[in-house]
Amino acid sequence: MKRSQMITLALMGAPLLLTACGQSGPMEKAFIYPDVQACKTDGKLTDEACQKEFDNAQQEHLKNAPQYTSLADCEADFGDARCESRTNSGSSVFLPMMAGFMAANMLSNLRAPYPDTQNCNAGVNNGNNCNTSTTSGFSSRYGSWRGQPLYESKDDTGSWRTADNRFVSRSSGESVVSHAATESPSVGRVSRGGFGKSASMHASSSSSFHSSGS
Amino acid sequence: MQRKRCIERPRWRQLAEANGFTFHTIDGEAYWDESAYYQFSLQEIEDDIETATENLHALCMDAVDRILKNEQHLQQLCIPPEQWDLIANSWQQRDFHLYGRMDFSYHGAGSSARLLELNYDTPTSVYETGFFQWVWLEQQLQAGVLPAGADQFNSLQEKLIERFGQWPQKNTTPLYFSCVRDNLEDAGTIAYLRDCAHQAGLRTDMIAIEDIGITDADRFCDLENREIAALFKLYPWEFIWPENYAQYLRSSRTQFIEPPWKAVLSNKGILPLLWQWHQGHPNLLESYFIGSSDSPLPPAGWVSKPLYSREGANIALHAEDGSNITTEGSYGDGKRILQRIAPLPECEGNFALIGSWVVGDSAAGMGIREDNTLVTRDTSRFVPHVIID
Repeated sequence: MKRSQMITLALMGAPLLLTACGQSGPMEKAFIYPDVQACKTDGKLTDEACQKEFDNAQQEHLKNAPQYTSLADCEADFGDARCESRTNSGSSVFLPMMAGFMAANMLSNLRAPYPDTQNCNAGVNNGNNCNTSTTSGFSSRYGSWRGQPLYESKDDTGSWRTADNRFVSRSSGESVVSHAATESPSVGRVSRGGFGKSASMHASSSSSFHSSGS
Repeated sequence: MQRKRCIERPRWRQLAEANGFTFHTIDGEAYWDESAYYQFSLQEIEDDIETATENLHALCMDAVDRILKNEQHLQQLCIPPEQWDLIANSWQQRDFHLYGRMDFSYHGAGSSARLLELNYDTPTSVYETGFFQWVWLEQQLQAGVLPAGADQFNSLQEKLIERFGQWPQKNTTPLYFSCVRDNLEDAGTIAYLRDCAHQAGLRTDMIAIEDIGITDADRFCDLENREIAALFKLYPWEFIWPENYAQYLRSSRTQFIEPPWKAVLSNKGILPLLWQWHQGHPNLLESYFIGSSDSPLPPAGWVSKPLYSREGANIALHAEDGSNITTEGSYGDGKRILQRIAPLPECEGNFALIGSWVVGDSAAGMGIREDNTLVTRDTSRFVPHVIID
């Protein structure tokens, strides 16, 4: 016999795998608000946590918001009257205004912990050992990060995005976001996008079918 | 070798979609085409395809060695000098390689399969060949459409799983699979290869090539900033070389599949070199390097191809009868080769190209692409085959 005896697929067939090429990594719970008042009104987090997470987001904003040397360039990305100027070591720079903030799903932030994770978290610091991934890929573990600033781009209104322009969510309040979006860019250590330019140069114009294979 | 019309399996599209074959139809045109199949004798497969594939593969491995001992050859292949060390080291270490595909023009019993080119870096149509074609055969056997005993030259999936199982870092390192974002075919291809790796017991993950990051320790990382120590990339080396992150290829210590040394073979310049070293070999076509990008049409009976091009782009074909075909593409610049024409066999207006797979160093199966022209493109139909004796 010149063919395989018996073959099967173990992972394919679950349709999500085909979209997985661009979307990988676990998801986690976070809280998204335009301002402190909205956070308090929502009532999921303690008032103290709302303020603390917002303050942290604002500090991150000053450190990590995208910077522009011209107001026009900033407004081209973020919209008219959506940028502010700062003085940075003597020279003037323009930053987009913080459109909102994302607060971590931390035990100490919550007014009432989730019933399904209460047992799991008993005696476990921040619940980090409770990474109970479910079939949806959503993890109910608690985050260990602090508030992050969020922005709204002119060409993607209605979406919350991070300082390093990662998509976060289109909804406010309690949200499910990719864990990657909660990482503070303040580590300043990681850059992306250094691969992939050649492929777009060779995208064929006659077909919507741009393979890099052969 | 015969082309036979065949009734299609009822609702095969539903089966395709349920098994991750979302690109069975492209822009409304059939890509998977089971309205016909190609029939071969066992002797045609074993003597003409399988043997030729293994013989040529051995010549290719020998060619890598010769090329890497002589800078002049690396220049002939237009490989940037800053990549030479990386390539040479990866060959010295015999870095693990997974697979490749040779494209043949073959006219059946009594003729020799002629090597048109090697796809040894980022070959695709692996899912169609290894899985969907195999399922087609099994189902058409069960349905009685194909006679009992019909076989197929196709142990591709079995050999891929076996080969992944031989990867030295199998138990220690997760293997990431990567391709460009938003391409159904490429995403399907890496999902399939990942599936095979998973079945071999490897830990696997996926990431879009555009999402790969670099840490301040110069290591490639995923979206969680975890190190990518091993990466299967369905993304050609010559695409990577001019990109920003090429500077980290060495410092990252990432192990790539296919490894850097495969760039030497996935280059049409290998064809004139093989000819130079094995002139008159029955499976090779006469071939030469030519100069510039704006060279005139080749003489009658010859084809001109860029050193680097994909999916039949930027080919100029000048047939014996004086007719010309030139194809569009974005690879028009740079050095080209001339290759003596070996027209594909034609049946009722369909031209068939044989893709013969190599896994590790073994011939592993075959897939056939059909087009309405002599040049096989990315949209050429995939048609299954059988062996009936």
